[in-house]
Amino acid sequence: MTKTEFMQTLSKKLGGLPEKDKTERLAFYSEMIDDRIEDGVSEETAVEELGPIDEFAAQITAEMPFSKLIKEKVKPTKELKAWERVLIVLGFPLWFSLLAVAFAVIISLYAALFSVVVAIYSADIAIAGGAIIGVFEAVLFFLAGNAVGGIFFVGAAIALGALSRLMWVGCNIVAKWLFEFSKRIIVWFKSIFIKMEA
Amino acid sequence: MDGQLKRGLLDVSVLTAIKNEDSYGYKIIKDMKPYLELSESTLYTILKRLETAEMLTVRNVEHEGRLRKYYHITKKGRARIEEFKSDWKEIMSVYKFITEGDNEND
Repeated sequence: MTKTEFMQTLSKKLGGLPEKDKTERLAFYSEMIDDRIEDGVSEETAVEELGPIDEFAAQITAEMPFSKLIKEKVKPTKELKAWERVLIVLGFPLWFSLLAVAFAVIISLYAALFSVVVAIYSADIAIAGGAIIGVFEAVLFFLAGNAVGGIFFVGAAIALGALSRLMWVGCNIVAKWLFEFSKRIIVWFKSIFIKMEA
Repeated sequence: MDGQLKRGLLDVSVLTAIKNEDSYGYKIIKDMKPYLELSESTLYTILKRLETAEMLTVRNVEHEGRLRKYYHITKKGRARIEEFKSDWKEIMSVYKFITEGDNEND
């Protein structure tokens, strides 16, 4: 990719950022590319060294505070005429409820992910509980003179205990994965704001 | 590494890179390369943050027909470096205390 292509694509991807931020950043990266070229690298390599452009734009999106993106969306690009202001006020029930719904969706998604995590850990703890009960039952059976029954429960307790221990590892993996996933959702949501502008 | 901790380290590292002489973006990344990998977007955020905190100033210098931004450390920036160094002297002595026990009980 040539430098111009890179800058144009990046400019489009950053479309939703505040104008001043955008120009500053573009100038910064342009300078970086030029300095690398001066160091003796070819234009293609210099652009390549900056990394895949999507990752690049994603990183910037992730670092940009959400409030800034919202402010930029809300800020009028030109002075609002009287009728436009009236329209915004009249339309308040509509756009406000749309925004509220969007946030409600995000929150319920988080609640859903969280309850999944709670559910799998609870299941794990329940199985562990089962193992403990198995031990008690085994003791009772042995005391009652029922060796076969006692041995059965010892076996069951060991099986449940092992299962619960293994599940614990699985739960941690799933929980971590869900956490990373939720972070990606936020970045994706932010990028919608940026794409909408472009 | 902890996110907050890393951010603090990077901030002071960038300040150190411009401590003895003004420097520009790409040179800062090159100077830090043997110690830390720094990406362009991370550096941009750090420089912006330091500028807001008045720990550095920026000026444009003409270079080969284009404008290059040079960053200059302020007194506040130097103070931040010193604060960091004394913080870490403390951390290192606590670390000594924490790990001293390891050798005895092993």
